[in-house]
Amino acid sequence: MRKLMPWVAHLVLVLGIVVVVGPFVYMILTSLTSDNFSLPNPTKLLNSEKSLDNYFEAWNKNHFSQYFLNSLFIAVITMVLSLSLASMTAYAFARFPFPGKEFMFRMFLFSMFVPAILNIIPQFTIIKSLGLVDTYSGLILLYISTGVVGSTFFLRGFFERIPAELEESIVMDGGNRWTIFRSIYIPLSLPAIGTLGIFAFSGTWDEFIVALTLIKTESNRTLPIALQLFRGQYATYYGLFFAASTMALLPIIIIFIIFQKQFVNPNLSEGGVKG
Amino acid sequence: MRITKRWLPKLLLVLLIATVFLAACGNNEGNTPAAEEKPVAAPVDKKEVEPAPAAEPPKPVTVEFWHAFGEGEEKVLLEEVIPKFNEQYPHITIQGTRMPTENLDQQVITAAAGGAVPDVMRMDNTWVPRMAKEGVLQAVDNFADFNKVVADSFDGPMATNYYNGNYYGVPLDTNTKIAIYSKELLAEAGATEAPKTIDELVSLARKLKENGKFGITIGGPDFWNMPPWFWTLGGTITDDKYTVATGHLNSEASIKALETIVSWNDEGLLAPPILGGQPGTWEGLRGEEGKPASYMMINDGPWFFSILGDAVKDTMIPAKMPSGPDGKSHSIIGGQDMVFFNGAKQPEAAWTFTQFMLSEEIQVLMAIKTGAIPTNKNAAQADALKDVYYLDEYVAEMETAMARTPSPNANQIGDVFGKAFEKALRKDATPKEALDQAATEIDALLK
Amino acid sequence: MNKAIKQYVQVAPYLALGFIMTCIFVLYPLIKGVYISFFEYKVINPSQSLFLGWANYIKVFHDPIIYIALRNTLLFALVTVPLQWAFGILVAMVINLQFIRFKVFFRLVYYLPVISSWIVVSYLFQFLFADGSSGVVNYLLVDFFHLRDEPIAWLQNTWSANIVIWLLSVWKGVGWVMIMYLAALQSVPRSLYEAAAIDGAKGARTFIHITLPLMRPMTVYVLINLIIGAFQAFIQVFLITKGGPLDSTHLLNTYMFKHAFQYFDFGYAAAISVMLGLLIFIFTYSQQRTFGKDRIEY
Repeated sequence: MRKLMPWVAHLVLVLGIVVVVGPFVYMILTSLTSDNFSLPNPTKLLNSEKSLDNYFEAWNKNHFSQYFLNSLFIAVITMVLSLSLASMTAYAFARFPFPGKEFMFRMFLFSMFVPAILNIIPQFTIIKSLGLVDTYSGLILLYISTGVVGSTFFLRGFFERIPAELEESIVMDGGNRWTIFRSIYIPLSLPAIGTLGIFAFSGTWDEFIVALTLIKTESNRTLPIALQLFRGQYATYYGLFFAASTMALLPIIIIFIIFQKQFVNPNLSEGGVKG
Repeated sequence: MRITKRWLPKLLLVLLIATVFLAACGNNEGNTPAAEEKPVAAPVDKKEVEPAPAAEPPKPVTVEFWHAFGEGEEKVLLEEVIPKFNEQYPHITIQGTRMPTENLDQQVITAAAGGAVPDVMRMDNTWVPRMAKEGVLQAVDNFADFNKVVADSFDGPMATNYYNGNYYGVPLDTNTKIAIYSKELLAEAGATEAPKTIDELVSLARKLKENGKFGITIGGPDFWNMPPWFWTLGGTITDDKYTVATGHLNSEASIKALETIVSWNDEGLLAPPILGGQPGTWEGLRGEEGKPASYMMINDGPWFFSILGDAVKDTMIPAKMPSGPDGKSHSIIGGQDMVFFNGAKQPEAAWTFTQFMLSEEIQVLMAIKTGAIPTNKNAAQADALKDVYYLDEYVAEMETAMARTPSPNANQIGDVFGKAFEKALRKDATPKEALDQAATEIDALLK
Repeated sequence: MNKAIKQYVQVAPYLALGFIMTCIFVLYPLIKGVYISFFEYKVINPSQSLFLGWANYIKVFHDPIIYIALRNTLLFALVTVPLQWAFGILVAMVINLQFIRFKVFFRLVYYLPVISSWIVVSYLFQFLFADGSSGVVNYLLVDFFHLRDEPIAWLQNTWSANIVIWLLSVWKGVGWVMIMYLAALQSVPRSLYEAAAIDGAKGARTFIHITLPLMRPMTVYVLINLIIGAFQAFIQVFLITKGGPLDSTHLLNTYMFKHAFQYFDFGYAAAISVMLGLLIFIFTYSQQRTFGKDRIEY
């Protein structure tokens, strides 16, 4: 029985992969077949000729390439700024005493409960009064502002778990809060920050309601809108649509592969204290 | 290196704030109103009569135009329509923005709430009363030559622009659903041409039923698929002024119409889509890989032909819907209107553009290239249209087609209607009960 | 007093920006939302809004579709939360077993759905579960595995549509739970297991008495997030069924959106929104007290 365990376990995992990845495989298969309005049925799909035509066509249609690059720009900047802001705010909650801290945190927390969907109208009005409609600054500002609370909540826990004793060495050397923040908290929380970065990127990458509302100049639009434009009022070109969708998935996968090394680093806290 | 890192967060902070301000300043410059006033030298004491001064060249203006054209249609707009427009009106630039159809009403109301509206929009005609009521649109009755546009347009589509005493737009294009027959299955039912009356259709359906196929396809119980059949069979929804449903939706004739439809379903004459079954309308009509066609006919708009093109040219027959008890058929009016926004910056120029879009030449052009049925009566009769083999039937159907109830609560009314019909079909209520209740609910919605 | 001011001054550079931005763009709209819920709100001309007092809230209780939406929302949570949690923790534990190879690869692949765009996967599932035998799932059911005679019209009927939505949501969330537990599992110091082994504890006992209790804080965190996420689900229903057929698959969130942007009844939508917020608050209340207090003492 013991000898079988590794095989069984691996088998379970592999079966799971089939379920997890299956939809994507089908999507890519469809994107490789020639364009079709009715649904290509599975037998037809497997037997038909495969080509990358849909990819070239999709890249050039509906301003897809332009919106893709726009989204890339916005998502990267939002991710960087969002992480900076969240880590500072989380540090504030984790290590600074001040009156009303817990109440303020609970207020923040509560805002995560209430659905944020209707907020688009007041938010749009505020952005308009700042004169930032149809600008990337306005869009990024809105994305960062709405993301602060969740990210802060996530990071605060990580920061609090870092033993306070580690700060003593810096304090003895005459460093201030910022140095502590910079040289202890950030490095030790890189896994968490990495995770957060991926979420910030993918959340921004995927967002379309706010993006569509705020950005009026067509050439400034973002990727999800391009995807929507591939869907017609009466019928959808599935091959093209899925080629576009596959291309839309690539950046996030690349970012994930780059960041994933950060994910789990088991011996950090042990090393820090013992050293 | 410690020093560098110290001002990193502050740098980021400053960068963030700077970006905000720079963008704000940048935008404000863009928003400053352009033209300065040129002082006009006015001779004060001249007594002689001067010849009328030559008209000043009109100031260049930009009209913002929202639309949800598909890619092919947008191409026609950008490559043919707008250049033609600019030949006549070089000083008016049309800035067209293609909006995705998904979520479009949310986009419109948010833009309006935030004061960032376009000048004119090609809007689904069932939205107009709702948008007008909310204060999003401005009335167009007083625009120059408005009455002429009314006279030139079909009544049905024109009526979709009406709300509370004013018109808030003009119809741009329209569409309706006709009957599309599969030649193959018609033959199987023993007919060589499309049935002219409902009774003929029913008898063909009965013959097909023996082969396990369906002669009548109603796409669903909803407010787009059901009314053509309901109306053709003699049902009505409200009075002519769209003020009350009781007495109309639950009139004898209406109840009888619904009972007929329910009996068709019970008899097995109705294709599965009526209650969400398989296959879908297009697949059932054309057949799929490994499955032969099983529907003799469906209802659909001109896009069926313009999208499928040659694939259906020889296998399908477009025909007017079969006529009902009053000797006519009554299909449903769909389509788009050109509406004008409150707060539009260039309403006059936008109106000029709209009149251009409504001109015979452009209406015919759009009809041929995109399958959009003209709302301009003359354009609809143009010879060029006859060359598009399917448009004839659609134009003919338009003559007796009816509009859905125009109301700010059109969506809710549609929901009530759909649910009532579904209930009756699923036998959760008798036709009379379902229609009685629906009529009461719709009355409240029409107040 | 001076101490308080001093503390504020010290924390300000770190806290101020996040605080201000949250207040302006998140808290203010929320409060405005509560305010709006007491009116028949005219979004274009707010001054013409009609004060309704509690009328919108009363209407919520009398609206039959609210109960359908509530049912769907509760079922959504009841189905997807346990399934995501169970599959996630299972996968995490299997991957964490010592003898598993290619850990990184498995982690990556199982996480793919999590980072994929909701828009892409929603439309993808809509496509996979298409009606007729052209839809892949139907094809597998009918032609391949011969489990049924007829294809299922997935999205045309309430319960099959709900199943599609649940499947999508679970499929997309399992990887996240897995990653969370992997992190927690791997942060258990090896020394603890060694100590237990020395004391004579074997596989299952180690698991029950050491691993599980240490997982508790993570479980709390994961469950709260799953519950909040479930109650706030929106995009998948919005894109796949739009609440149909005939309003039967609406979640409270999508129903609220419909009232706001299709019926332009913002006041009522705001009332639904407030009640949904309260619902979430109540459901997660018991877990809230452990927030921030989950430092583990070894």
